[in-house]
Amino acid sequence: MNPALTIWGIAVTAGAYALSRKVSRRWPSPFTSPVFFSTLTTVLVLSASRVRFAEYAQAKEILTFLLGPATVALALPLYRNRRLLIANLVPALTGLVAGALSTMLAVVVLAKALGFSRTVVHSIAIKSVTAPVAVELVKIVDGDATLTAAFVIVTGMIGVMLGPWLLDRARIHSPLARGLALGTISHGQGTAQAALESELSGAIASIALGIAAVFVSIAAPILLRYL
Amino acid sequence: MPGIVAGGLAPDVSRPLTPGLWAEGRSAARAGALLILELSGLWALSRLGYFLVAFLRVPLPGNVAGMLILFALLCSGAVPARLFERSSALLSRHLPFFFVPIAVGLMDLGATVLSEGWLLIVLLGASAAAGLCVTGWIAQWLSARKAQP
Repeated sequence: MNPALTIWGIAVTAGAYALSRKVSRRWPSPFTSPVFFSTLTTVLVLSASRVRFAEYAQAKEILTFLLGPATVALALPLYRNRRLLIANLVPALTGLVAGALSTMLAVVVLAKALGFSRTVVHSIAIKSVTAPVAVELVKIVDGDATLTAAFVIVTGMIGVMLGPWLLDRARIHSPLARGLALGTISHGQGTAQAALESELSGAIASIALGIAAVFVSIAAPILLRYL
Repeated sequence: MPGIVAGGLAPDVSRPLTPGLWAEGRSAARAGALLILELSGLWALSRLGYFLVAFLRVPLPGNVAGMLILFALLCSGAVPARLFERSSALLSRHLPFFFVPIAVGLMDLGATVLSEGWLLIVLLGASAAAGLCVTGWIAQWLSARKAQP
């Protein structure tokens, strides 16, 4: 391992992220969302400076260290909004379970029908799970972490771009249902979008994100065994 | 906190800056130390989660188990929520930063996936649309039914 390359890798990632925060505030769009914009910038700068991904591995290890604690911290919004969840327990949980299952089934069936490899199918199945959980869950379902990461990011962007329009067209107007749908399907980015619509939507979306992560973690390994 | 205000608002010409800087530095160090303590707590819970799922052979990601443990601790009242306020705000605000390095792996996968990229994006769009509608419809229908007597 080359320490200079590691420091360079960390610096590029941190710089790209800092830049993306500025850019996304100035020109808000799914394409300037920090996760998409910093990934793209980091890949471009590393490629231009002829750093291969294997040489970036050490930097990756260091930078992803806080993903575990970040997942554990998801318990806090869940706890803070627990009364909202209890007040809407049946609609929220039924909607969440049905939605998480249908998006997983849809993508797995379609990907299999189109002849994608087992690795791609297993990596894409968990694309609606929040990123820090998805990259751990992918080890259990035997997919590819990088593919899953890409699918999760694109799913988040789709939720932001397509979600509000689609929910309008589908005549889903209740803030509860909208927040729940965005949080369940498009995890963190969907939750941020829901929070823009209303406080209630944002709160229920942050609950949905956490519960969907737990539910899919349990359901995906079982389902993928039989699909 | 009072240290910053006193040091910042009362420019003492005889002893320029030093006391203010000292107090500011001390309060920053305190906040930093608390943050590190909070993060260590979250880290320990995450490790505990990984240990438990390995020990009990549950097919669940360890960090998810850690999250469930913290949720149980919060609900039981054993741990007050304010204990993790700083760190949870910081982690959720900057979550993309910790996650970007994994997505950077795409630079190696490039060609294989990109050739079929558009097809995969269509798949992701179609399945996301199905999930959004199913979740929204069911939740809206059930909560409307509940509201009616």
